[in-house]
Amino acid sequence: MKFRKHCSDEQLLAALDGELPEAQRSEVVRHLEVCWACRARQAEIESQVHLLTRAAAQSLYPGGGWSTLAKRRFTLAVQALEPVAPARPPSPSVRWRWRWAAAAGVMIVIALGTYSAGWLRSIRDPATVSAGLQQLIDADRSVVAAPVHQVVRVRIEQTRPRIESRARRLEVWSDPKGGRHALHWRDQHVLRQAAWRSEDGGVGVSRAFASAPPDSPDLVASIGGHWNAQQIEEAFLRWLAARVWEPVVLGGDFSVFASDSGTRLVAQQVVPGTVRLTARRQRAQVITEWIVEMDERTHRPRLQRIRWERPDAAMEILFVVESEARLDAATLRPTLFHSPFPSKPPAPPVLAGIRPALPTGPALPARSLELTTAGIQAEYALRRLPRDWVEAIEIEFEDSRIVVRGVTQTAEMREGIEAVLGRLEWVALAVQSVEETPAGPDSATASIAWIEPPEEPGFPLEKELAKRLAVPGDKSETARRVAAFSAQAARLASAILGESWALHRLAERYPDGRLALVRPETRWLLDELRESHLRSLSQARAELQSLVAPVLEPLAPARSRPGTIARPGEEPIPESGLLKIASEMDALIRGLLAGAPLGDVTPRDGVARLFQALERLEPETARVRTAWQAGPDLRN
Amino acid sequence: MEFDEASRLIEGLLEDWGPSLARQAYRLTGCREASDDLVQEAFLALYQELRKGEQIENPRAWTLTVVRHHAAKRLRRIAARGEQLEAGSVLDQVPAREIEPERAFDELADMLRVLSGREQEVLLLRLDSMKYREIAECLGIDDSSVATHLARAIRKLQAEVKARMAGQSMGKVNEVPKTLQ
Repeated sequence: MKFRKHCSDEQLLAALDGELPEAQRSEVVRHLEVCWACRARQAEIESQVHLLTRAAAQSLYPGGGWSTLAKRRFTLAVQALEPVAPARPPSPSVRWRWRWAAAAGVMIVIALGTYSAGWLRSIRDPATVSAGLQQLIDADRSVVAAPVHQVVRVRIEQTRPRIESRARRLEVWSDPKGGRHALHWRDQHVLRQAAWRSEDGGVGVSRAFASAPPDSPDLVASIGGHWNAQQIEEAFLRWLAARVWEPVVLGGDFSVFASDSGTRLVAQQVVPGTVRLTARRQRAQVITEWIVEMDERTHRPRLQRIRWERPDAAMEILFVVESEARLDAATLRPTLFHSPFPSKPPAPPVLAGIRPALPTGPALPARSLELTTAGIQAEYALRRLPRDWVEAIEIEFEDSRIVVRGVTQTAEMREGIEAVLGRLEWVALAVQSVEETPAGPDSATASIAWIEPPEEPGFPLEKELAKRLAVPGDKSETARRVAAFSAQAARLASAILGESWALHRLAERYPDGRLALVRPETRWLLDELRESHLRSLSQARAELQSLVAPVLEPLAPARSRPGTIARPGEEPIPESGLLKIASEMDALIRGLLAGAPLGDVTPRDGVARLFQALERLEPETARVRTAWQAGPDLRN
Repeated sequence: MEFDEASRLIEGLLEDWGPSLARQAYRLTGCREASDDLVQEAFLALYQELRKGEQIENPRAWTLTVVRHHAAKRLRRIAARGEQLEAGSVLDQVPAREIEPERAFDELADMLRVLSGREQEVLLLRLDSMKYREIAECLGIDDSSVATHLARAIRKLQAEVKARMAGQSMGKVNEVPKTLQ
């Protein structure tokens, strides 16, 4: 490495890195002392290296914590390879057996991996996608005979609204033959929750496991407000199974499907012997993602990840199977299948008083449309009340009604809540104020009464709708038709809004410059995606038009006055275009037909605005389609 | 080699070398899931070799070669499905990016695309604080070539940052990572 006049970049860099042999190093140092040009170049190189090192530490994959997960994954793969390795998984005949009671709660998630062999191979037929997913959902209900002990590591990470992370451990002993099961949920080594069933049929569940998942035709509605892994996942899987899937890419080792509304499902063989299913759905502002990695041979999941995200909240749950072993039923401690907690004294009277048993409401077919509508109404009604009134009030879905439970500080607040929510149909109230709570639990139970649906309208157009949809002589059938009508309209409006958001995001992600750069295959995929969103949007628009036109058109005045429409969303909406129209329409429908705040628009003007929006939507959709085909400006 | 011994060796290697290898895999595939899979495959293959009693002199170089081959195999499979392979960095030709366009590329990884494959490899290994000698052993090249590749990589990146900054001020698409400004 000789130099005549100046140092080479290599020498300067190697000198900085301390990689020059001693003789050359002193030569370079001597030269640098007298040559400002080389000093300047070395400084330049040094600052570039410094920047690179910093950038690499910040942005390069993988970040911290990678090794731990990689090691875990490696160990599991080795266990499958090694016939005599310690902690080897049991033979394929031992399967997951969880769902012995509704109590299995959170853990059901892990069991969903049991699905039939060769699914990846058969998945190429779109018809089997839905069937396969359904199979996946059903599989956890199958009963298997061998007793098994499983340990699962659970990591729950919330990044919004605040960063919070929890690591927990789940341990399950299952002896289906003996009818015994036990499940422990631990924080470090402290037992936090438990569920168990003993051979004599005794069942115990600690509170966190006892909640039943709600059901709803709409994913966002069914997971909104619930932060329970099981509820999110069950709703998501049920939703996935109900979709129509179209193949997008079929490869040797991976298949991609798109559903009718843009959800993608990817089945992929990752390392030999492992299949990964990834389902991702983005709708309006909510993203749900579910990933499961499972053993191709035994069909047992090794790792599962559920991610749920919306602008104000985001959460991820990761399940990693730590160990799984056959159990000898004879050696199981009988005490395992009884409460692991020491018996506690009964709850103090105040606590007993605020959660009294409720009288039963009118019988309804389980989880009907009315309930969905009533749920929306109750949510909106609660939102309209002052925040400190409703801090400790929650809405619970039951089979045939919605229960609004909780505590308020004063009797005045309680009365206020009852005045608003008591008017809603199918809603039972169990609100107590702290100052009124009686001394004993008995009197508290007695003070709760079923509140009859009142005569006043629950939303602006209710009376009008009741007139138009009336079934003579049958009030409850009329009410049912009104609720079904508004629920259907709300569903279609939110579908249109969802598609508009999807189109908007697509346009944002691929601005003109970027789209010109993508490869033809990508362009093709994007075109397909875009077209599918546009199709769904047009279809929903047509359905909405034909639903509302015959009923609402006579209500619209010839000329509407301007007014501001209230919109509950948090994200900024563009000033014009598809998204603006769709969000206005969604707000109008919710305001007119579900009792959400309507802004300073009168109901009749609202109807007129709704029809205007419906009219504007069609040419706007056409404009977006042409703009996309033409190229440059794609923003809608 | 015994089960315990092989497992211990691999776990140690995963800790020290795993992240660097994952970065190399990411450079080749542009997809995090795919890189994790490639690394896992490479370590499993190494494990199987060790269990068979094979002597692996330089496990780092060995696993890096496996990752490179498997990444290339993936690309060939994609090509066999009828997609066109373009000249240039393999970075552009992995399906994962096509399927998941929402996983935006790291800005820095994007900048690194102006470098040749070898330059990227050398630079990434150096950024993982490896000595020139170690890098040379890993890649099967001379110590002096390491210095040459590194210096060239840094020169190219300097030029690219300048070009992009100029482009940015004229409203061009490519952005310069904030960390490099």
